[in-house]
Amino acid sequence: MKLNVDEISSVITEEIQNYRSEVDVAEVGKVLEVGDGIAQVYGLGNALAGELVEFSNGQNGQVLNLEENSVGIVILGDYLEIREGDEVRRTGELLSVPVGDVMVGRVVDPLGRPLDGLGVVESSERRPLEIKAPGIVERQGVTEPLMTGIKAIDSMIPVGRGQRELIIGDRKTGKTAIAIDAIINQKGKNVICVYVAIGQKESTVVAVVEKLREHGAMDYTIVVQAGSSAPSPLQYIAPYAGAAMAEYFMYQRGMATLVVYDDLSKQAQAYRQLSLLLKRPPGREAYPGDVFYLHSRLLERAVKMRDEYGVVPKDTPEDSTDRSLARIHPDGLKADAEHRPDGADGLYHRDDGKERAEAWHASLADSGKYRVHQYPDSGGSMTALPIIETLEGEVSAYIPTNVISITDGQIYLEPDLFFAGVRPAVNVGISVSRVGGNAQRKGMKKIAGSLRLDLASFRELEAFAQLGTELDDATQRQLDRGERMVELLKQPQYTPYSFAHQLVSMYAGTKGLLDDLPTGQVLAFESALLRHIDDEFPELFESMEDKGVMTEETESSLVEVINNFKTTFQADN
Amino acid sequence: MANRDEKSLAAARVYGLSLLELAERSGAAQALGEELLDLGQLLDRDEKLRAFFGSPLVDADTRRGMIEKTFRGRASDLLVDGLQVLNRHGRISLLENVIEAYRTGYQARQGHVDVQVRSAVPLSDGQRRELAAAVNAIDGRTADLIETVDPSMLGGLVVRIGDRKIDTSVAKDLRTVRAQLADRAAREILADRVA
Repeated sequence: MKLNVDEISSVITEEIQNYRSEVDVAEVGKVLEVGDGIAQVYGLGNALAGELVEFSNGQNGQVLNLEENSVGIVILGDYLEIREGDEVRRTGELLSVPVGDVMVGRVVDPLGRPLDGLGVVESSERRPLEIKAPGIVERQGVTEPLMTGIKAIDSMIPVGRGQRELIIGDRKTGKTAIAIDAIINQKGKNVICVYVAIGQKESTVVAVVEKLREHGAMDYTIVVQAGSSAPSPLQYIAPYAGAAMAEYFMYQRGMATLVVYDDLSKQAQAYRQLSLLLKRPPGREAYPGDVFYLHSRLLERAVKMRDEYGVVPKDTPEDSTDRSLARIHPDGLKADAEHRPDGADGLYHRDDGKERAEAWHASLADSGKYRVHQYPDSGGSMTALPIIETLEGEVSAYIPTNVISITDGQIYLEPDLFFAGVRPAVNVGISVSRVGGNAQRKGMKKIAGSLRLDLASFRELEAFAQLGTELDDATQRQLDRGERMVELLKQPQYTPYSFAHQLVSMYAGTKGLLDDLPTGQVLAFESALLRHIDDEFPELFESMEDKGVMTEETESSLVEVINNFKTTFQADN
Repeated sequence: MANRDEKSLAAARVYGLSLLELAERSGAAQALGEELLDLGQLLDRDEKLRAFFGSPLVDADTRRGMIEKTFRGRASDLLVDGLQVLNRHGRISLLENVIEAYRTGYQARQGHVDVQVRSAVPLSDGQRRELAAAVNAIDGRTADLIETVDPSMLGGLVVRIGDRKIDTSVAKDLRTVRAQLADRAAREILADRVA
């Protein structure tokens, strides 16, 4: 291609002609000392805590310490280019990241700069990294399930939308695998996922992104990456950046989101590093005093927002978010209980808000001119799956206990189980979901409700049986059942199960329909059975997916199908 | 560079302002200020004097005698007494900071402020007056101009009052234009790729 000199010079001329010289007024300070990603800056007397500042070479920093004559700044980038005496200017802004649809499918650093070579991220909107989590009025309880597609989790440790479920375990026990499977399972479910990699090996992250892409999950996923070679300030802000990107979809679009923080122990270490360099006093395990707040303020941002309804004029567009259009009940908050709005603005947002809005709408004389409107930016959720790596199964270390106490439950992974071939290596005994059955669909709750306890008693019996004593028939049966359930809960990576598949699989196991199969054949039988039903009786699955329960009718035909199939399966093998 | 750590600065401020108060009482604030300024320049020039004041190897008694011998009679009593107090309290190494604290304290009481001015060419007297008037208009204080000539700015002025910096230099304009051109180029390349 021939270089078009004229065109280039005309572009430059135009640019210069249009340039309006502006007086640049700024508040500046001077770098006193710099090292290990921290700069002490003299001056900047009016700087705010958390404010974004700019160094003379264009690098950004965040003000963390305000001292009498200087401020302590963490450098968000390469600190080797910053020298003593350099100028630092205030920007008057807090840290923020670009958000929006353009972020989806991208791999970015914690400041929203692209890392995937797909060009600049053109986003008109930004959101601050740190926001205050919504209060109790703006929330609703966690009731809607967020299916991970993993049998062992969806049946016994269900995760709900807006819940914070910790994934904890030693290294190499499959923590990331669970999170990735959960992301892959959100395909087609209108859930935006954010995977935040903190202090991970770059090669691991490349592999994760590749896997997500392979399974079509990058179409609805944002990856925020602060690798182990990234400066510690970037590792420290990465989870907040990921949360801010998800919050756009939750607050502005009313969507469900899933954020994975992989992992928060590395983030705590990064924060410890910069706190010590800022000369903040060390506490237990040398972590600073506010390390609990570091994680609690992050995880508190996971939320299920309330649904908001209003009675609006009939011609209001479906995507309207204008709260002022809602007709206000003439009696306001003093109205009858059946019609009473939940706020002076006429909105209905508590549990039975929709019913009350509809009741009032129906009672209106001119009800034809109005309709009940659900605000599309309400009801969003952010589910958080933080990951914590333990050392030698030590859950009583500082950071693990902190995060366990913040989250609504934990999925505990054990190396012993992992190497015994039980994968996912979930220790059912000490894994819990404090939201529990509320976040499960009815059908699953009914079938798998007692599974956790049954498996726990099986583990106890199993230990007892190893003593070699004679066992009575009932005990032996319980052992057989337990063995088959453990087998049934094994699941390879990247193969999420749909709700109906899980339901059938759990049903077959808990009702003892697999008891007469050799343990080794359970998984083979299960997958063949599911394939068989998919091919021959898809209506069974459809009914379960729609209703969320197994009707008596479906149940009886399912038992028949399973028993028939078992006969042919046993004949073949 | 003078010591900048929090505690020494605070200590130096106490000594500097006490000296200033004493000097004001005897009406010698300006004279003492000039003396201190000279002493500061001497410190800058003379490495041995700096070492003598700064080094912990010289013990306080020796230093006391030396100060008495060299300064008494050649400087005002207030200054010599001040030096002795600093010496007795082991704060003599903060002398530079004390001088600075005195200077800024005196300046503040006079309603003056340091204004650093960088320009591509030396300022004319008219420009100085204009600039001082402008500073007075925005800040309300009288400007003590500290001028530096920096040809790399190409044109315009960079004025710094305390932490505030006002940049009208041509070099800054050129930097902005360059950033805008680069931004535009990046946008156009991306647009091409998408199309």
